[in-house]
Amino acid sequence: MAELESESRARNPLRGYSTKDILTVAAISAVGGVAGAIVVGPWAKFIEGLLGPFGAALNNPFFIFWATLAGLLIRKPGVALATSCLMSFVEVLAGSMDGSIALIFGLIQGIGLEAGLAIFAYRRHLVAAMASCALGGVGCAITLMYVFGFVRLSGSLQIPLIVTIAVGDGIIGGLLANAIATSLKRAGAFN
Amino acid sequence: MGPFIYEPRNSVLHQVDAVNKFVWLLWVTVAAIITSTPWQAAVIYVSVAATGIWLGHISLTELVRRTIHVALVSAWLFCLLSVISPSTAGPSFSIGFIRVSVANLAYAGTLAIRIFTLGTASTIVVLTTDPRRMVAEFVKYGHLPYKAAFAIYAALRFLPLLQNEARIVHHAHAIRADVSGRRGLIARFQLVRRLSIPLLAGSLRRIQVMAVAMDARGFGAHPTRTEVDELRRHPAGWIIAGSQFVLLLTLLTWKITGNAGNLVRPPIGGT
Repeated sequence: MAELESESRARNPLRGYSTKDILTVAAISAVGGVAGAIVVGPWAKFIEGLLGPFGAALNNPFFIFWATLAGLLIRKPGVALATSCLMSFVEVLAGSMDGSIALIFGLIQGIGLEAGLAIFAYRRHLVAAMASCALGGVGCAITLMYVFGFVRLSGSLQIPLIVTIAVGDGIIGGLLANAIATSLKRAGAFN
Repeated sequence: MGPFIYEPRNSVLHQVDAVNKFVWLLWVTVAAIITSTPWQAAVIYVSVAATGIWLGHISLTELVRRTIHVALVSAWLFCLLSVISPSTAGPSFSIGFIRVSVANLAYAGTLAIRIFTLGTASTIVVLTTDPRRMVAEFVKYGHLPYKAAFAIYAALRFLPLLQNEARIVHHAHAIRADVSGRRGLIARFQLVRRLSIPLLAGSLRRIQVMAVAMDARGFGAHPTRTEVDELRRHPAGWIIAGSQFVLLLTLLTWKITGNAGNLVRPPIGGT
């Protein structure tokens, strides 16, 4: 029995994650994905219709803060990336306006989100949350440029685009993720 | 299952396994992203629409209805890119005070069709894929660890529970604070703000209990799990994914060999 257990753990790529961690990622991804498809998506199209790609600074934080929230709650490597990918998957299944492009956003933003938390060693504080969301915003800007074709903008617009989205995501998304993580900790919902 | 748009039907696409469908979606995504002319993008779109209509038994009317919002996004992108792209050499014309070049129109058209194609392809996949069966197929055919697959299944399973709980919390607030009659954006925002923390907190508490229950039943102790549903892999899945891959290779070869008379343009971005 002990041999079977150790063999199972050795082959299991998820051995560092408990069942509670997996369910937490699932729950946050479920809420975030459906919210992204049904609530945030229409707002995103409206604001980007008005402001062009720069409008992403005002809608993308509400897409990405869920993954940072999961990373702040669980504080293990790979959680933010997994949550971002799973959330975009749920978003596609729920009928996202962006379709399968959401999967690309989820992956590239997730890499940024993960990097931001890793820089601060997965500590739960505001600066880590803001760094995570800011780098997630950089991922969003890169995806917007290369998939939606805004790479054709002149260089004098590309840099401000990246900076605007990173700053918007960092401030709004970081504050939101940190505030919710703190509230949940105070409510005793997550230890 | 919850807000998902899957519709059970008797078609070839409904019988094809989820892994092959997502591989098909992957090839469509790569092909759409590397297109650099409107004609190339249109060919990819026609192949996608034909797959959905003939193999998925999705009527043209329904496909249009499901993708109308993606069409609006594509139209917006077309208008935006036509106008904001830097001016290029070649023929151009004026609309009012805006100067638009034919090259920019072609570029904008390519991007617009690309976005529309990707939205249509993913709509076809989600319309024809049962979320519950999909998870089991990812484990059996995609060799995904079942713990990771369970995360997907749990995410899908939580949604109706959360919807029900949101309804209960909303009604409780309505009784106590008489907010049920209020409408408008501010009222909606306040509702979301009131619901979000209780829903998240309730879910996370429930998760801790569920995790203990699952661990007590040996979840994760063994490398494999027994599935209740019997799964069969329809051979058409290989043909559908394979033909999209052949189309992608054809497009790549066409672009790499430089095709007579056309400039070879970088695959992504099209500049």
